Amino acid sequence: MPGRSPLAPLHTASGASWTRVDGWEVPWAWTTPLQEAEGARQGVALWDRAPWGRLLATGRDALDLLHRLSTNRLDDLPIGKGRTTVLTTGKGRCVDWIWVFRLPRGVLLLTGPDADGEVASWVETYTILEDVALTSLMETTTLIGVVGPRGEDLLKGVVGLPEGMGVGEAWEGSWGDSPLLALRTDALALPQWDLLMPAQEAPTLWDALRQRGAAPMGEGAVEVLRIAAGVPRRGKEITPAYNPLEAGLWESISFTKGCYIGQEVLARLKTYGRLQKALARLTLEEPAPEGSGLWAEGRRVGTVTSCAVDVRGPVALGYLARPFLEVGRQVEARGPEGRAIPAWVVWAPSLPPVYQPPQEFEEES
Amino acid sequence: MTTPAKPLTITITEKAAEKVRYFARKEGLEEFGLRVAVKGGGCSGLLYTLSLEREPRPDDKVIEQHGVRLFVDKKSYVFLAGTTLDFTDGLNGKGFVFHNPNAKSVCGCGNSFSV
Repeated sequence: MPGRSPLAPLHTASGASWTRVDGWEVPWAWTTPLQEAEGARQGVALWDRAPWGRLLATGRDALDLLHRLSTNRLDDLPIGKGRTTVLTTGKGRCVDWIWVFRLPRGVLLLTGPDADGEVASWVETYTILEDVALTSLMETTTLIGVVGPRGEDLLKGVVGLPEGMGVGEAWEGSWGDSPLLALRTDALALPQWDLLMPAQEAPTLWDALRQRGAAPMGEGAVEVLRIAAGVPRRGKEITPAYNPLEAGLWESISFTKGCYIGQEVLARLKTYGRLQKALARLTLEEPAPEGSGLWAEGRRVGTVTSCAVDVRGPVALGYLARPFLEVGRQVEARGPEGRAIPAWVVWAPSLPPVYQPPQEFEEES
Repeated sequence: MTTPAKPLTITITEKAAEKVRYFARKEGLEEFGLRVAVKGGGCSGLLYTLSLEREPRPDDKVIEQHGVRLFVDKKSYVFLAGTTLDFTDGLNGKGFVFHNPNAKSVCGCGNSFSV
C-alpha cells in the first residue's frame, strides 16, 4: 500500500491529479507544474510534504550521537535552531541529507522522502550504550511547506508567525488547541516554512491557508523549482553511489569538527582534490529521462539524475566528470533509445584544486 | 592440526596497566577500575572509550590483570572480545591502542573501527 497524506481527500476534492513517488501517492498538479512553480516564485504556494521523514530523538546522548555519526557540527546547536547534515557510510557515501533541529523536548530529524525507517535503523545500528530513543512521527504528524516570498505575510496572518525568522530557526506556535512547529528550511532555495503539526489538524490549516490566497503545488512544480535551483534529492542525486562532496553539500559538512563516519575519506578527497565528478545543472534541447548517459568526445562522461521543464525549457541535474564541469560546455544526453539530445552546462561547482606537493625549501642567501 | 581458539577475553599489557595505575594515582584513586567501552561514531562507525571508575556496575564483566581491573559492559564486550589493550609512547606514540580481532577496518588514528 502506498503512503497517503492526511490531506489526500482534500486534494482529490480540489481536483489534483496524482502520481506515485518514493512509495507514496502524491499530488502531481492542480493546474500545471509550471503555473504552480511560478506561483511559488512570485507569491506563495503550499506543498504537502507528508512523505518526508520525521523522527524525534530523545535521551541525553541524542545530539551527541548524531554529531558523531554525521558530517556537520551539531554538538553546539542551541535550542530552537537547526542545521543540515549528511549521514555517510564508512566509505563516505550518502545515506541521507537531513535537517536536525534541537527542540526543548528532543532532537527533530527531517529526513528525505520515505527515509525515516532507514535513517532510524542507521542511527540505531550505532547506538550501543548511548541514552537515545528514536520515535517515528509519521503516523501522528504531517508536514506542510509554505513556499515563496509571500509566505511570511501569510503565516503572520494565519498562525501569528513572528517576523524575520532565519533559515535554520524553529518557532513553536499553535493552531487551534494543537501545537504547531514552524521550521525555516528553504528546501527549494525559496523562502520556506515547514509546518509540523498533528495530522488530524492539518486539513483545517491547509484550508485556512488556501482561503488566504495560497495555491497548492504538486510534485511537478516542486521538481521544477528543485532542479532549477540545483537542490539534490534523496533517491535521485543523494544515493550510496555518490559522496556529499560530489553532491555539492559543502555547507552541511564541517571540516574541523573531528571524526564522524566517513570523515577520513571525505577529508582526503578535499585535501588532495581528488573529486572525479560533481553535480552540475544543465539545460537541454528537450527533456531527457532520468538515468540518461551524458556523452562528450565520444565517451560517457556523466549521468542525468533529474529532469523537468521550466519556463525557458528543459532543465536537468546530472553528475558530470571533472573536465566537463565548465559553464557553457556542450554535452549530449542519450536516453534508452540512444537518441542524442544536445545539453549545455549552466552551472558547475568549482572543486578543490588537485594537490601539488610543496616545492623544496630554499634558503635565502 | 587445529589452531588454538582466540582467547575470548580482553587483555591489557603490562605497559598499559602501568599507565592506567599512573593516571589513577594522579587522580588520587585508590580503588578503581578501567572502564573499556564502545560507542557509535569515529571515522569507521564505532569508537573506543576509556574511563576510570571506582566500582563496576552490576552487569559488568570484570577482568583483572597486572593489578588493574577492567570493567566491560555486556554490549561493548560483544565488540571487544579478544582485544588487547596496549600503550605506545615516544614521539610518535599514540597512547592507548586497541588490537581488536573483530575490527574489519580501523581508521588512521586507531580510535575508530568497524565490524
